[in-house]
Amino acid sequence: MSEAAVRAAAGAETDAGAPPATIKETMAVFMARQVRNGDYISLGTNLPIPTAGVLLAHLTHAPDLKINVLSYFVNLSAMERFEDLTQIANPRVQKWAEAVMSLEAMVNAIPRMDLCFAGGLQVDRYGNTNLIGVGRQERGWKFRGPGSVGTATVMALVKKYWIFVGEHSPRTLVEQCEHRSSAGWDLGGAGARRKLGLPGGGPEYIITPKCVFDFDEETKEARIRWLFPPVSVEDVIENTGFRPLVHPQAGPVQAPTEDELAVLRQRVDIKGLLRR
Amino acid sequence: MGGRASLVVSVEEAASWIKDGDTIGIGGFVTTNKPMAVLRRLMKERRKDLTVVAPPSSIEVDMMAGLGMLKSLLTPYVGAEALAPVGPFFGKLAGRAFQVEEVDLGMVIAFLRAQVYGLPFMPARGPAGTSLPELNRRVKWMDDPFGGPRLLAVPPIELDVGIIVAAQADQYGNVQHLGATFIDSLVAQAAKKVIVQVERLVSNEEIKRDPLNTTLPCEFVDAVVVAPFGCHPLSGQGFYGLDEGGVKEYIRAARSAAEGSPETWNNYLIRYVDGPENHAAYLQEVGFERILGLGLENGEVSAR
Repeated sequence: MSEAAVRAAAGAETDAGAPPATIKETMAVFMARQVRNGDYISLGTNLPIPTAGVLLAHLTHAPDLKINVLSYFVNLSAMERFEDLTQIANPRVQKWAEAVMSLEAMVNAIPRMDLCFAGGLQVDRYGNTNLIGVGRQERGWKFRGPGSVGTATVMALVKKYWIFVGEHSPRTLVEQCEHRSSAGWDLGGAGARRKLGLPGGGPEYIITPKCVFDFDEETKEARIRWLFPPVSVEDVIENTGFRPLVHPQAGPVQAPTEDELAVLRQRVDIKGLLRR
Repeated sequence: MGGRASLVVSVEEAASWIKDGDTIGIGGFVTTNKPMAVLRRLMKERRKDLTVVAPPSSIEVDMMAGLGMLKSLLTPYVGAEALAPVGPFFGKLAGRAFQVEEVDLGMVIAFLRAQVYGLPFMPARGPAGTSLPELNRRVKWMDDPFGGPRLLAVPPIELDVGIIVAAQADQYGNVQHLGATFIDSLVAQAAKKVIVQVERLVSNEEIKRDPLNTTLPCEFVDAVVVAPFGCHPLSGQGFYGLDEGGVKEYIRAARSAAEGSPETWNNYLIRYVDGPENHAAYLQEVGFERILGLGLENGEVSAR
């Protein structure tokens, strides 16, 4: 086979003709860059883009990550490729396990963890999340969500976490969650979590397809920090159900490099889930 | 007198231990190690008014919801990740055909731990600031006797029957998972009766060759059900992966029924639940080609 054919067979598209990064890939690359080498991280159920971000970090600048893929405690830095981002509850991961933990042992380990992820059907300005549903059980759900998974307990205890939403709209980013599956900064203020008795460090970012919010140090209101080009601050404000703060240095994230994209496409997202 | 008694029973007999109105616990996690062979029998017999307590769940609980078998549900998740973000029947019927007692994984663990420890409640603080305490009437707020912020008191739940999956067991009920144990030990210890569905039966000598692998000694087990490929179409740890096509077939059928056209769903039930007389007939209906294509091949770890 010619070199080009070999590359094509491997799904490699790293030369000048490589398609530009999709928004999902750019989100994964952003997350990868924020992961610190040595972090202890648990991957979440049905969160393929954050999973891709963690694995990309692991295969580039963070070979010493400690990762729980549910029960399987792994180091994947020598991994050739990850087969399937779509099912995290996957017994195929056992082949990489250095330890196999019960879920109880994993829950016990959460206060030690540096980073976890929370999804949400709704997220409010203080980083409270809702995976339960929209509407009320006794009157019939408008939309019933899949349930809280482990988020209430995990987000209470983990050192910090990032909230991930796949859609940026006034429907998902709301003034107030109709129900809460995890508590972020409650009704605001740096002491909010202490009052509730939640020992973990709380949400650090909300990551959406348009931008990354961080939280104001004092009020803990969501604040536009980085934008995924070509999105503007106005665009974010228009599509957000609460009025976000704007960080004085709010600006675009740096585009993924060719090297980052090559690792992402060839070793992390081999099925192209993030390219769709 | 006679020798040591065998705990091996058929799928049908094990299923007969579960009565209408029972509270049952199911082991595994999302799409892995769900005791489909035993549960499919309960579906075929349309057991009803069940209260199900489980860690994150997938199509097994969704099917029970669709068949009208549930009275109440305590599980933190019903879906199949990217294949189905929310179980179709669960999404449609939650709060209508059955009650959801909202929980997260930490609360499920607390309910079962309170039972295992023989305590009136376990304190929990994970749900503080969430809606879970309002959406689950079993739990109550309490003051911290040491003066900290208030805590949630999570009372025990005793399971009538716990049903879990493991790789292997001997006929006396010594069980080895050979992999992740999820919260299976907790489910077993919180249950009056424990059914373990295994991929294969091994000798007592095989168990004793590596007792470090034993995850539940026979004291905690009441029945061993031998059901190879017994988690299909879900995955069985150490033996086979998820049958994606099979799960998609279910999701399509369930979605069409949830949207009001029951024909595909009725055909699905006839083919996979009501038609096959037993587990072997089910596997025959699925067919060798699909079943044998699910192995954890290519040098991946599998149970010895």
